[in-house]
Amino acid sequence: MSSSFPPKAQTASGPSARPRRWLAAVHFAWIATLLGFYLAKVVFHAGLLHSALRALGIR
Amino acid sequence: MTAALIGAWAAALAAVLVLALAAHTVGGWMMRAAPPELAPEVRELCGMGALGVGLFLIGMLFWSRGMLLVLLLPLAAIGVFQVRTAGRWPRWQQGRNWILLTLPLLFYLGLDALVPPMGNIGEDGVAYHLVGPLQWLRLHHIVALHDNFPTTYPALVETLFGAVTGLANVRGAELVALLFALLLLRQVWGLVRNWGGDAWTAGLAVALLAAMPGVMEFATRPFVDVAYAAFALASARVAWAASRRPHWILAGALAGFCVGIKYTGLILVAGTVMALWLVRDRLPGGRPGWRRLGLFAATALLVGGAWYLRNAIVFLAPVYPLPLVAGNHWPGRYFPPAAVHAFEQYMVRRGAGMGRGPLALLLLPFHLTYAANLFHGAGGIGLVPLAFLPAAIARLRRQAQTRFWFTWAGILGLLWFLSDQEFRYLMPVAAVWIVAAAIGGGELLRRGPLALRTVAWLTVIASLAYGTGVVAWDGGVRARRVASLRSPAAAQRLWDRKVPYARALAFLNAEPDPGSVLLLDPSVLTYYLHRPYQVIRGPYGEQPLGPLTIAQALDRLPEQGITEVVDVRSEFSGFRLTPRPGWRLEFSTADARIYRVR
Repeated sequence: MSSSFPPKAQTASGPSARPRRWLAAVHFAWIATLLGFYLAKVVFHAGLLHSALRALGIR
Repeated sequence: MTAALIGAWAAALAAVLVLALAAHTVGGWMMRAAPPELAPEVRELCGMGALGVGLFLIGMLFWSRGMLLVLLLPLAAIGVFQVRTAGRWPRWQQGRNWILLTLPLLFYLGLDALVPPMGNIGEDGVAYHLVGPLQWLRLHHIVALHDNFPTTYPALVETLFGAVTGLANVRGAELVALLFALLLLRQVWGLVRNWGGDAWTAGLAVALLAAMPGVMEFATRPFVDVAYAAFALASARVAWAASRRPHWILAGALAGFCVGIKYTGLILVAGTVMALWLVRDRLPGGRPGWRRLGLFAATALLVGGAWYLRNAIVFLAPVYPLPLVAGNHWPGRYFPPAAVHAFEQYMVRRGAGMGRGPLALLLLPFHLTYAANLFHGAGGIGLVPLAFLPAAIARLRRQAQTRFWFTWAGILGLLWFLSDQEFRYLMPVAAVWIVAAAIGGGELLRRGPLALRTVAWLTVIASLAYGTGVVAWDGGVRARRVASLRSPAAAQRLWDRKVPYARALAFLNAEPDPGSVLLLDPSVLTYYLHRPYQVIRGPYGEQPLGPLTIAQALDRLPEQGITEVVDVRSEFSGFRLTPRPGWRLEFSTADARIYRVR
């Protein structure tokens, strides 16, 4: 993990590295989950999933 | 391209330039009341708002192209010299890549704005926003139309639409809408900078808002919501920074422009006062007493009050029609209680969103992100606001300004949630949300660990790509409009396709007879008709001629000066008329008939 995240002036718990890693992991999990769901929804709504499955002969 | 078409584009662009320069001049006169650091950012907005109010007050007495030229051209001429000497523009360098990324979309929207507004009764722009401005030119003063009650709404922005329409043509209205979108982006840039973000982050916020379909869908349509959001944001920014009495007056005036745009401006004033009161100990300009907050609210009501006073005098209700229980006991002028009730039921149904319970409130950010269509916010807000919200809270939580903006957005969001959950009305909150998300996300994008940086960048790219695509495509509507610019034949095909009863209306407009036309069905939009007209029932059940039946109205044709009657087949009804002796069917298609009655 980068030592510059978040910037020290903005951290609540001072220069300790552990909370920063923990915070970065939470951000990563949160964003990745939302992004995955978002992309799945876009793909589904755009009919891309349907087209891809049909192209593969699954439907 | 024909010379006439190019001339129409040039005239519309010139009219909007005149309006913008006049706003620059008038705004400059108001800047002595602005906090110095905000003056360059709110100047044009103040000018636009003041012109809207001023032209409305003058226009109630007299309205014509000549009057607009006499008033606006000298102001614009002064503005030319002031622009040349102002010389203070934002420092774009760090954020220029984001701006460059946004420019193609803005240029594309500019092309869209060159296509005249068109659509059916479901398109508010042609159903009422532009109906007034076109009629005012014919009637030579600003009036609210009895046959179309939404024209009684506060109409600051419509007055500006009317000004450019009067100076040039109706394409100018869409360019004014786009101008307001640029002014909103300017507010977003400024808010990021004031809130502690650098120019790179400000550019990111601008790019994200420019690609937010729920907002930019309206950037070139003759709607008023983008302008409302720009004024609301500017008002709150000035109120936050206010330290002297004139600052509070200017903040109130900017909120008053919102009051003069939509009835929800009244909610905005109340919400802003509440937010200021709740964070009163943290305001940088010192703790405001009730006197300062009262000055803010009183100025807002005074500045935006002209429309409410007009309605109180003409329609016996400052908010027309009176809402909720009050409406049931109100002797509606031109608007029978049953029609008022039906309209309210329609609004309640339309604004139901995802419900109003605690769980719905808790899930609101997710619903706005993933199911904005339930709030009529087609295309949504993108993923960035929700994805970077925790980062924004972590990054900003120690700043005093954060308390204010989160309180302001929270109160307005809650009031929106409890009232009418139409996404357009939430634009000011969406703008604050995107600013906070950009500031929080900016840290992740540039300084996070590699994995976090990667997923954060993917989020931004997904939001920008999807949002840009949706704004540009807009269900095919915007793409077809822009494609229609390639030739007059393509433009005519689009017109015939989008305008209900286009051929019948073209026939009526080509008639040399100056007599009135009687319209029996509200789906024939008066926006397209360039002749005097009368209607029996308005689109919402208005009764401009009183409670007449069609038969009674037909008995009175000669005394009303009516020469033609238009009968159509629509979503509301089939053909309604049986020709009477002496009538002549002079136009007939599968869905429209026109009878000459004398």
